[in-house]
Amino acid sequence: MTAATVGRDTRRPGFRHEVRLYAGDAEFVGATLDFVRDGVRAGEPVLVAVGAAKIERLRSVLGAEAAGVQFVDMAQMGRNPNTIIPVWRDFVDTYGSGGQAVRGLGEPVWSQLSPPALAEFQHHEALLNLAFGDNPDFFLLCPYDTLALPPAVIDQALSRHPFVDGRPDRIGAQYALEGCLNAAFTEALPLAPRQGPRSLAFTLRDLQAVRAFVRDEAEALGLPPNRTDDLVLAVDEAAANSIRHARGEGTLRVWAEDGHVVCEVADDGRIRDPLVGRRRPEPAPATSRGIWLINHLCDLVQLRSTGSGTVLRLHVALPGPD
Amino acid sequence: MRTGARRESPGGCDLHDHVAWVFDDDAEWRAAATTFVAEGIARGERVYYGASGAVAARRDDLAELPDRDALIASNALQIFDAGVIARASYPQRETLIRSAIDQALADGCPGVRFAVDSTNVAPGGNWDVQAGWERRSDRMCQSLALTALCGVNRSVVGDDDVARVACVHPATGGSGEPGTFSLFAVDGGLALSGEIDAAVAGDLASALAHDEPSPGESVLDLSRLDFIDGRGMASIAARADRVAAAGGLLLITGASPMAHRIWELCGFEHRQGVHMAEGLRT
Repeated sequence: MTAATVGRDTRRPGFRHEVRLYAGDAEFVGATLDFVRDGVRAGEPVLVAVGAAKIERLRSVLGAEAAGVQFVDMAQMGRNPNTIIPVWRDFVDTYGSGGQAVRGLGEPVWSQLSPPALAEFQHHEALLNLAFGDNPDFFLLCPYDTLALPPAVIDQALSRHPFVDGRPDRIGAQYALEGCLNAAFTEALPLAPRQGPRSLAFTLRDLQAVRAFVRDEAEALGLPPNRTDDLVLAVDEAAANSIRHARGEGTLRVWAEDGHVVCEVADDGRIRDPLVGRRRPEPAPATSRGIWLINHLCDLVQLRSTGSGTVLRLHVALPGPD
Repeated sequence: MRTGARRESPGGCDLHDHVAWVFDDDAEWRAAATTFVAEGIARGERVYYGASGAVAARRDDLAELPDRDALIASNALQIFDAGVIARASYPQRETLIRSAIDQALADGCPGVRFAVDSTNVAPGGNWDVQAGWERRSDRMCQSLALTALCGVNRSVVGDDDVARVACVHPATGGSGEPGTFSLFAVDGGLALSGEIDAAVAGDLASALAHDEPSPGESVLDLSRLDFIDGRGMASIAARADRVAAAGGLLLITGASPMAHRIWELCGFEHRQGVHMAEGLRT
């Protein structure tokens, strides 16, 4: 029996966020199959969110047992890392009620992640520990490919997962949640290009001008109309947040970067809830939904908030060079 | 035209039009009211002109109207004290307006036209209450042989209150650009037009709160809406909740694909008492 086999017998009920290291694509199925199959055989609901090719490989080796597994293409679900937590939450709330143990296997499509997206994915990994602080009986396994990923990323993963490689109930030596949560809100963003960004200062009366500005800039940069609509709404929500939660004003900057239109909204307010925008909003009309909407409208969202202000950087992908 | 569009002139108003006319000084209002009244007279409509203040001053507002005194003598034009009307209850006011329309139609007129300077008539200076009245009168304009021009002096009332009352008219004209959206009556319900964002979220919430929900099906037509944010959608969801509580159904029509998307992202798609029709917007 390998370290990869951690059945229900050997772990306490509760949230278990574990990293599993594997060396190269060929090892993926070997590193994850037992985890999935043990869940199925124990009658646990299992959700596998990985890339499409890996889904097919797992399906074929699981055979008939694949019927007991839900598969989701992580290329869609994890396109914006800020939208992953609510998918797991929905899964846990739907299938894990009444103390039912549930399992998840989650791995982004590494080749899809740009450097800023990878950074946001690591913040997401830290925030997962907070998001399931209510300790549902949820075993979430995160495979990391040590051949595909640089050592720094592996180190980051080890510091963000309390459990490592199937060691039953010992917190990993590198686990450092507090620092990682802090980094999620305070880690410096890459510098905006010195040349190019166009900016607009705004207050409540300027929201129409903010939308017109984003629309003009996005169209000039070649963003298609439907994605321009998404970005216009997202920036409007970000600006409205600045007006509502900061001193009633903010600054918008727009530029193009690595095949994306980037809009940055900065203000002097401070957001203190690290999970802001990562919980499905309550149905009551008056609930705040701004950052939730922004996360679902954009391809990548970088939020940083410190004593000196809040920055929201919104990325929407430009069409590829077809 | 009941479209929520901006109006360049107080002329060219047809039956069912209901226009908020914003002005900065009284001369602007007198000119607009004179144009509006003269057009009604030319069309054979019975015309009522109302303002607050002394009767002589109210008559003087229409000093430039040709044959003013003869029109007054023949009852084609009636001048009234808007302050007195404003102190009447809503049902009393509606009864007065309905009987004026019935009489005009019985006399062979095509309809009734009201021009009112409402600058000083908001009860207790509360423009939210005044907007509630305007929502009711808009329903009358939409369903009866009625045309109305509602003057409001921006230098007296201020931009915020002008926006609060202008947004419940299907058309706005005159000085400045009050608000960015309109909520107005259409067959079977209400329509929204323009742009709804954080700057007008409060005005929308109050405007939607004025109508008592009824147990039947009522329409909210979004086909003229150019932009709406999450808070605007939340106001619509709150309206749907009130309609549902009254045993009714809110049928949202004309939603753009983007409006659909926001509604779903906000988590409103499975709400009781509301149905968003699949977009047929072209």
